[in-house]
Amino acid sequence: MPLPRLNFPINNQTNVDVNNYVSYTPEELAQDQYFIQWVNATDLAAENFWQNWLETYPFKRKDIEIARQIVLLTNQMADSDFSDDEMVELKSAIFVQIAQYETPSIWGRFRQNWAWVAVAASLALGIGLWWQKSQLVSDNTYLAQVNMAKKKYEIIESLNLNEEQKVVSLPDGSSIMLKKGARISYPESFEGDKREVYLTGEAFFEVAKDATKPFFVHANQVITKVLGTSFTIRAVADAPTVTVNVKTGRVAVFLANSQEETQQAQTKKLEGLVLSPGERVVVEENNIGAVQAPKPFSETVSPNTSQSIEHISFEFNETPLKDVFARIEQVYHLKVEYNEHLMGNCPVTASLTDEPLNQKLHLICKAVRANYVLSEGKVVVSGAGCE
Amino acid sequence: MLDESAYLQLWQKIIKGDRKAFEKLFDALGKELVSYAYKISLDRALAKDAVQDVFVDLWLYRSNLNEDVQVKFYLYRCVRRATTKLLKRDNQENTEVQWYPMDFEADELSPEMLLCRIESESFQEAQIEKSLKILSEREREIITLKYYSNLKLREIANLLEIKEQTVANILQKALTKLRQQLSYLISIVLFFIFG
Repeated sequence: MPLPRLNFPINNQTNVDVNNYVSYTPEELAQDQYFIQWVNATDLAAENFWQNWLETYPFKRKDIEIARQIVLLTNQMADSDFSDDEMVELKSAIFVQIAQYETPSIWGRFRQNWAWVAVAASLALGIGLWWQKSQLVSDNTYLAQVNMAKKKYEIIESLNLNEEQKVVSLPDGSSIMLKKGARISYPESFEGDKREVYLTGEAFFEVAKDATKPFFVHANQVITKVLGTSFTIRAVADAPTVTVNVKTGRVAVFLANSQEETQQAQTKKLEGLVLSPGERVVVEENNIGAVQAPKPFSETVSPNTSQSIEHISFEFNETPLKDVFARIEQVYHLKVEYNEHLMGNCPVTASLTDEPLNQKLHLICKAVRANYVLSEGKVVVSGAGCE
Repeated sequence: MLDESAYLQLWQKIIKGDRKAFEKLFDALGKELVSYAYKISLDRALAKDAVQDVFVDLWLYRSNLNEDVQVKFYLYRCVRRATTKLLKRDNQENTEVQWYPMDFEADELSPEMLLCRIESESFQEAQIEKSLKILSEREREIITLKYYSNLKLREIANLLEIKEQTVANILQKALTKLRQQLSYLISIVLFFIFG
């Protein structure tokens, strides 16, 4: 059955043939541009027209109502409500992926040279190595790793698009401070015998101690293994260099897809290349550099290092609570809400170092008999004071 | 809202490698493209993946792009291909038309109660969800293109590579399904309001 298609000049009521609509079914009405306009917009001319029309043909009221409901329903159906945040995230995912493809191909060149030499020496060996290398490259991007991880875990991703720092709390109580542009993916819960997270960008980790479940950070081609400590990793998506910088405790660093990875995965100890407090290592492509003592502040990665957590102590000796919270606010870029009048002068004595944020708050609040709630971007502390 | 000529300007800048223009095009059309992909797939994550694939390819292969295209239309087509490709990959069989019986024990409710339910938000949400389900993938898609993206039947036909008459028929059928679902409710409501 061919549909009657009448093209009314919209907004020009005089050209609308009122009688035509009488023979319309609700479905036909619901397709009519003039009708849709009436339902969707508050167009005075259309409003008048349809009200008049209904008075002329009251027996069509039901059809009109049905058609109106159909149009409303189709509008609602089509509006699937993707939030602006989701769109920002999607946009950033697009740019991250593009950056990964556009990476100046140091690897590509390396691979070509390598293949040349290999062909000259031994074709078979050359192909074997080339294949291995190319596997290495493609598997070690952040997105590839996260996609692999999604097969094992329910993955949650946090990213810091434009804040200077953003604190992320993990299910085991560890906290991670993402620098601007960093993204971290982690399982919804840490099951099994290890804790694995995936990083791109720069982040400072405070890992909750759990010697039975080593903590693994995958960052490009480098894996860092920890039992419980604090350290910084810098793994920029479009650079072949990964830096690991230890503040407290010890961590082991090794390459992904190496024999060592399998060994490290099986043991609960720290073996191989182990970094101690203050030490750092730079991994370029597949070469782990020599362990270095930390560089002076001016040369380290963050511009305002003196303010950043890597260099701040949490030694408190009879320190007023308000100063303690000020330190927390400064370091974690959080807002701490509490009754300063009541609690601000309570003395706190504590020697905190690499405890995750949650644990620090727990210990501080315990000292002044208060409770706290940590939520997105702020901490709310309640207590009776210490008079 | 930008118009087609503004899209085309952005498009030509993108071909020359203008990243800002690329971003603007995403800001302008990203949301409706994701919604469109969602309507085909009913899978939010997949919809985002599809749009991501399209925009990443758009940028990476920008030098191969034709300078003179109907931008919006072109992107819809790309998103459509990307979505069906991902759907196939995921092995989702979503094309069967399924009829869901009306399941709100209407007989047991008085008109007053029914009216209350019809006006409640949760009922409306359920209604929308049910409506989505009674429509086939193709019907959902055409409804979205007509009522959300405001494409003309001819444009829809081009996009889907089918005849305009076929689009009209599918649309008619989809609306009939919706009407059948709605009409019983509406008779009650009208009865209640107008006696």
